[in-house]
Amino acid sequence: MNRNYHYHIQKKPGIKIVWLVHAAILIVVTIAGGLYWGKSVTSTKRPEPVYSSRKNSISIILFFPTTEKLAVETREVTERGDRLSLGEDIVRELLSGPEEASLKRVVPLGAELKAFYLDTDGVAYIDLDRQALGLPKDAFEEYLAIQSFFQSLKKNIQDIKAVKFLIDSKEVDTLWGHIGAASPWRQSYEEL
Amino acid sequence: MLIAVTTAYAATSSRRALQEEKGWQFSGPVRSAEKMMIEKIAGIDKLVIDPGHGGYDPGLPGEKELVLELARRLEEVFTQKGTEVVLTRTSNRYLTLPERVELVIKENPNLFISLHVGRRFFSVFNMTSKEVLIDSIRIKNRIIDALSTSFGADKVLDRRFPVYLADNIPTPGVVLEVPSDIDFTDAETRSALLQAIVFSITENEPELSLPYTEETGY
Repeated sequence: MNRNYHYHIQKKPGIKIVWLVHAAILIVVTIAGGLYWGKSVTSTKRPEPVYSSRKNSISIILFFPTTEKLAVETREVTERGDRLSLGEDIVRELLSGPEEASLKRVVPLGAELKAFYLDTDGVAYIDLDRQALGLPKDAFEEYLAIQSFFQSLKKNIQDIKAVKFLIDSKEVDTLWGHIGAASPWRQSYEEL
Repeated sequence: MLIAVTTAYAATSSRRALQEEKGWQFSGPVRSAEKMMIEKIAGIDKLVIDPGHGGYDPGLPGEKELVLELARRLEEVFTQKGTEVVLTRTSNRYLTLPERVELVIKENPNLFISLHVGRRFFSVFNMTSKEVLIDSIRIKNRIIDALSTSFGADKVLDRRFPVYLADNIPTPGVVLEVPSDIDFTDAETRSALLQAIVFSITENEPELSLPYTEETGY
C-alpha cells in the first residue's frame, strides 16, 4: 500500500513534464506549419502590382531565377506616371539583381540598359550592353533569364505581349547560344 | 512489317507524285521505302554533329572545347561504322544558329545531334517540326534510357522549352546537354557517354525516316 502510494507521489511530476513536452511540440509544429503555409501561399499566388501608401511610389513584381524556377520579389519604385518609364524601371531593377540571397542574378553586376521602348503591337524592346552576356548560361538558365524579363514586364504592364532583346542596339540571333533572339519572345512561362 | 513498308512506299510515292505534278515542295528529306529499309539494316548513312558555341561565344567554362572534343570522338566512332559524318564546326569558330540550320539543310543528313554542356544534368530536347517529330522523340527516348542506365535517372532530364535548333532543324535528331560536373577527362566516363549515344542511335533499329505526308498525318 505504502509502496503504491509512494509510487503515485513520484509519478505525478513526471506526467506533468510529459504533458508539457507534448504541448511544446504541438506549439512548435503549429507555428512551423503556419509559417510554411504562409510561405507557400506567397510563392504560388502572384500578387498584382499595387499602389503603396507611400506617396509617388508603386510596388512592382519582379521574377528572378532560382536553380529550378522563377520566384517573385516585390519592390517599390518611384511612380513616373507612364508605361515606358515603368518598363524601364522594371528592367533596371532586374539588372540591379535580387535582394533575396536564394535568388540568382540574371545578368552580371555592371550590365547596363542602353534603351527601352515599346511598340504599338505590345512588344517591349530591351537594349542591353554586351556586359549583359557576361554570365554564361546553359539552355535552362537562358530560358529562365529570358522569362525573368518577359514575365516581370508582362505582370506589371498588362498590354506587353512580347519582349525583344538587342545587344549594343543591334539585333542578335541568340543571347547565350541556345534560344533564338531574332524574333520577339512571347512564350508563356511554365514550370519545368 | 509488310504494312509498314507498304504505307511508307505509298507515302513516298504519293509525295513524289505531288512534287512532279504540282511542283509542291516538301520540307525534310525525301526517301523511298526501299532506301528506308536499307537504312534500317545499315543504320545511319549520314550524320551531322553540331558542337555548340565556339569562337567568341565560349558557353559555360570549357564548353566549346569539350563539345568539339566529344563531336570528334563521335565522328570517329560513326565513321568506323560506315556513316558519313559532318561537323558544323571543326575548329574554334563561331557560327550563328541560322548558319547551323542552313548547313544541316544543305547536308540533308538522316540524323542531327547538337552537343552542349549543362550545369548539372543531361538534358535532351527533340526536334519539334511536324515532319520529324515522331522520329526525334523516338531517338530522344532511347538516348534518355541509355543515359539513365549509365549515369542514373536522376541525372537525366527530358526538357521541353523552345530551343532554336530543336525548333528549326528539319531532320530527326536531338539537342543534348551533358552536365559540367561529370569528369570527361576520365576515360571510363567518356566511354560510357559515347556508348550511350552510339548504341541508342544504331543498335535499336532506328526507323528513319518516314517524312510528313497528308496520308500518314505525321
